[in-house]
Amino acid sequence: MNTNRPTWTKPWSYKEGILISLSLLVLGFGLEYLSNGIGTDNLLIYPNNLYMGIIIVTLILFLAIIGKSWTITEWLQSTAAAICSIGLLLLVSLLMGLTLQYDDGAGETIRRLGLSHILTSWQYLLANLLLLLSLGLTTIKSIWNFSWNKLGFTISHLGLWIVIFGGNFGSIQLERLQVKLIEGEISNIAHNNSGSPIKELPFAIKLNDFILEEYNPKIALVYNEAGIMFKDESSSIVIAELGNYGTISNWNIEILEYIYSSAKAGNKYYQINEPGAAPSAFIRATNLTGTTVEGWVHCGSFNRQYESLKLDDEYSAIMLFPEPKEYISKIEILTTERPPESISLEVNKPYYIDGWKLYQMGYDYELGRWSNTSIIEVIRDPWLRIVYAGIFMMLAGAMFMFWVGSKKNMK
Amino acid sequence: MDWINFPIYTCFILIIWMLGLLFVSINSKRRFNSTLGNLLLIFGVLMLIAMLSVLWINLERPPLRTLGETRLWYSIFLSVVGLIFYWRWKYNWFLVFSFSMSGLFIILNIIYPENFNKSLMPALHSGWFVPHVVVYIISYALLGASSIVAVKQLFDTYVKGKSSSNAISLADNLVYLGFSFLTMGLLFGALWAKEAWGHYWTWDPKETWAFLTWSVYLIYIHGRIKDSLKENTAMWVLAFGFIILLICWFGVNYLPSTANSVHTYSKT
Ligand code: HEM
Repeated sequence: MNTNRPTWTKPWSYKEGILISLSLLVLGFGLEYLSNGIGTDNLLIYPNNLYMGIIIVTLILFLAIIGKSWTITEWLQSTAAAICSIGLLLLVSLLMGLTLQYDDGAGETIRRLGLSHILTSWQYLLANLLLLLSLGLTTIKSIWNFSWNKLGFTISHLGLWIVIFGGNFGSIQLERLQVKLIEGEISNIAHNNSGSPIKELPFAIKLNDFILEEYNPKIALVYNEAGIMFKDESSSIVIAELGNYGTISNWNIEILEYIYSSAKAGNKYYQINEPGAAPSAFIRATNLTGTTVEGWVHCGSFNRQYESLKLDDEYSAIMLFPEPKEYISKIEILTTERPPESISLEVNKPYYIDGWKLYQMGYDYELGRWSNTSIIEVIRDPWLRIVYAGIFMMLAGAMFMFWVGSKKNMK
Repeated sequence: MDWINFPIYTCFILIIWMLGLLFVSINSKRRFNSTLGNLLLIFGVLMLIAMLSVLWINLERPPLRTLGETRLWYSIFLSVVGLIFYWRWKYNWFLVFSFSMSGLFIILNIIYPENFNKSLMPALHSGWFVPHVVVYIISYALLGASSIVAVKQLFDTYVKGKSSSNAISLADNLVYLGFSFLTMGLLFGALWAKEAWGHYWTWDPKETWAFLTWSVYLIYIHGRIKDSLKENTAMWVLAFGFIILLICWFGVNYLPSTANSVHTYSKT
């Protein structure tokens, strides 16, 4: 870097880069403030995102072909520009990383400066535009002067450009909706987050069965007075499982009997299968001083009272609600063209149909495993394939990088 | 943990490592000392790996969820990376640093043992889980090591007034490898997120900080091309990068922006 060169004379470097980035940042805050903190929310809706994309690509091609030897083009293809544009986006994202986003309680100034919604703020948009220009021109240059030695370089930069482009401008067309299903009923109405029906899907879904598998519940101690759980990081729970034991605080807890689905009759719990029948355990607790207490604990459910076991003046033993291990909806997809399809929808295993991905999302948490409703999330993202292409190019680039290592040390 | 006495077992590892480092450092010209030192260090690492394996079997799930469990992986990778780079570059100080860091994480685990919880929420039952986290941990170990190099170099430059010319190429090597893993970790995370939560990137605080970490190292890499940034500036970038990395790793849970994150499993 030649520090004696007057600013804005060819070739531009860090000084100009910092000035450009900071001006964009100030411009971003300014536009945000003037637009009263509305941001780019209304600007970047379909099909504006497409126009925006066409403008950016045209601008890049224009600079790369017509303005090839312009000072600004050469600067945009330099590492100084790369660093300044990454730095600008980093700065804007840092603001996002430090402030609570989409916070309705944000103060007026915070909101008006876009700090409560960085993703739809002008400063974020401008930072991305600078990055797309710099990265785009760098990529085009490396495609123009393609060489096999630089394949890794070309695909990682092209991949990243595609991901940033598709992720920012494409995902505006992302549709994320929910379908609430009740066992035995059919629905094709999708709701938004706040529950108002907004779309008829091109297919209908019937819920045949909802299944929830649970882990064994945990036994814990609570303070009688305060009613809060005893916690020391090392050993504050014992899993309810026949024969299992462990130490919590100064009590040794042993599980003598465990029933997954149980109900109380008299002063004992029995195996029973009916809605609301919850886990219970017969435990023995032994103090360091030799005091022994035995009795039942029961975690309770939407229609059963829980039961705790008082150990001494300080503690009682309780059973926590079992945590879900897996939940599955047995559904049928009904379309006008094809015969119905039966599938099991699980968390982490979405199902793809006609441009939509179906996800197991939730259920009636109060009823737990007796829930007869299931909430399915339906998502459409027309740009997904493009972004995935970019992601896989970046992955290939990362492998190249791993393979080749830092060139400076190859000599 | 009933099946193993964690503090005693790991203290034993720490003692073995200290002996190993002692033998390596004291008169390392003598073949015998250096071989013995290396063997002790390797033995300690193997003991740690054995412990992790037993933990894995006992928990019936990969031990990658709580902070304590990831610290264990970090200790292992840091010590392995330290050994490999020591064999390649013969830096004593690097060995001491990486093993001290690794030891520090073990000590943290002794001071703050966490409960070893068997249940794993459904979103974590995924084929992506292990590759995502393991790749991340390797990358953190390498990038952590590169920051050690940077801090050492800055210290030498400003305090001692002379710096080593090899250090920066060591840092470059570590960053290139570490960054390629970091990129893979980030992208695996995105592919997984699409399967589990419906979208590949939601700028959740954890994701935002992962992106910030990634960007800082990206700046370093571009700053090193044709010496675009002065060496010292590049070293500052690396040192700064590690701070961001640490925030991303443990700090995120405590930031105000995390009020509704999906990624803070260890809290629940
Ligand atoms: C996936 C992320 C990225 C990776 C892995 C990456 C990696 C690299 C590598 C390894 C080089 C050196 C190539 C060589 O030695 O010939 C390089 C050069 C370069 N990169 Fe990146 N980069 C990334 C993102 C970016 C971004 C976001 C920009 C710009 C905004 C950028 C702009 C540049 C420029 C201008 C050069 C110099 C090209 C030259 O002078 O030949 N890169 N990049």
